[in-house]
Amino acid sequence: MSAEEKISYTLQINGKSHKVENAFYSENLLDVLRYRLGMTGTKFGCEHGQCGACTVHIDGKPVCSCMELAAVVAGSEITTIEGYNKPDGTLTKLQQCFVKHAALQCGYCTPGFIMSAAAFIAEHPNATEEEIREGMDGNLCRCTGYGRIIAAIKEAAEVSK
Amino acid sequence: MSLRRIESLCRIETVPEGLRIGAGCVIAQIWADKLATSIPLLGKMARAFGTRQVRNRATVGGNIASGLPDRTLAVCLLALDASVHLKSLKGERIVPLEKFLVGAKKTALTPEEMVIAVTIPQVKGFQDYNMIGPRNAQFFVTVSMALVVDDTNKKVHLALGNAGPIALRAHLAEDFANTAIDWKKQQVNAATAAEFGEIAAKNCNPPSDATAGENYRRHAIKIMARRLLIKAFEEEPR
Repeated sequence: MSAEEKISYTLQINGKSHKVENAFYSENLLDVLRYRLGMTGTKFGCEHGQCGACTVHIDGKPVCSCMELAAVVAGSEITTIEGYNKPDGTLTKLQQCFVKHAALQCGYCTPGFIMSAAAFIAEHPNATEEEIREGMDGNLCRCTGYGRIIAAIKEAAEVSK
Repeated sequence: MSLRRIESLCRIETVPEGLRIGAGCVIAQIWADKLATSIPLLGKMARAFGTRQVRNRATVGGNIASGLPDRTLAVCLLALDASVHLKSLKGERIVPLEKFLVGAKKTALTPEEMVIAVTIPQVKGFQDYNMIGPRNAQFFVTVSMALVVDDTNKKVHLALGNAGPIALRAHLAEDFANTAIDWKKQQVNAATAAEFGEIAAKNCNPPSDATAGENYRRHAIKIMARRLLIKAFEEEPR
């Protein structure tokens, strides 16, 4: 099989089945989400696992969608920022904390930060600030300087207990 | 082709030779595994490796087979004297990791073979990993090193990352330390540690690139190796 060959498969995203037809084997999940399925909440940053802007959950674990071949995750449960958002448009506690602490400027990295932080808080509800800083090591923000982001995640973790 | 769902590649188990880690195990799995983290250096390796997102996907086999000089895993496994299991239709062979890593992006893998596991012998003694780089998380390290002290056989293992075209063992520095360390008293004096660093820094071939020059890397190796050896005999009461 070569990278030029094509394949069709079904992805389970945010609780719904999405058919992907006639896609290249080599297409990554980020491209499929954005350009085939129109889910542009997941952001394209570095495309090699440095920045975390494209973070999604695959079977509950945060993963860089740019480094995941889409065909490989057929059969896995994928959650994107669109699935994380509440359907009624209100904000989750974590998102409210981001707003309260002004934990964003341009906002491009924010969906990735929210997805990473949501997974981290779920696994480490009692994390200290130091632990949050280490736990968020996979996401880069070039505007804020991180202080406000960490403060927002810390408060969200505290109220989620 | 993805090997992710081949279950037999994703096991961590004790075998007569030590600990066997399947090539399909991801780094997050190693960090969460009690057997694996009973080898302290594996826990430290997992913590220093990439980012959370990357650790959820990066596999042992893929990381080793890349044959790159600056990967966290290869440096730690080299210091632990790990062996690599290669399998093809013709059978299986076991190659010491140091022989598996042939040169820049070159390994002992033949086109018919794949990495199926690594085995790590049990070693009693100090183990630590150290790196300097532009970022703690995922980025090419400027220089990294792992030190393992084998108390039983009275030997030190020093592995260097980004100090040559491939991750390498600092054999000359090891040979020097093996005889210069006072194993009975479990002591190493300042002069020995300094010389250990000097020898390690002299006998490697670090690159010059956008991150750092060769001289900076040699200097870093000298200081890091000295400090690690002192730490090994100062901090761990044994």
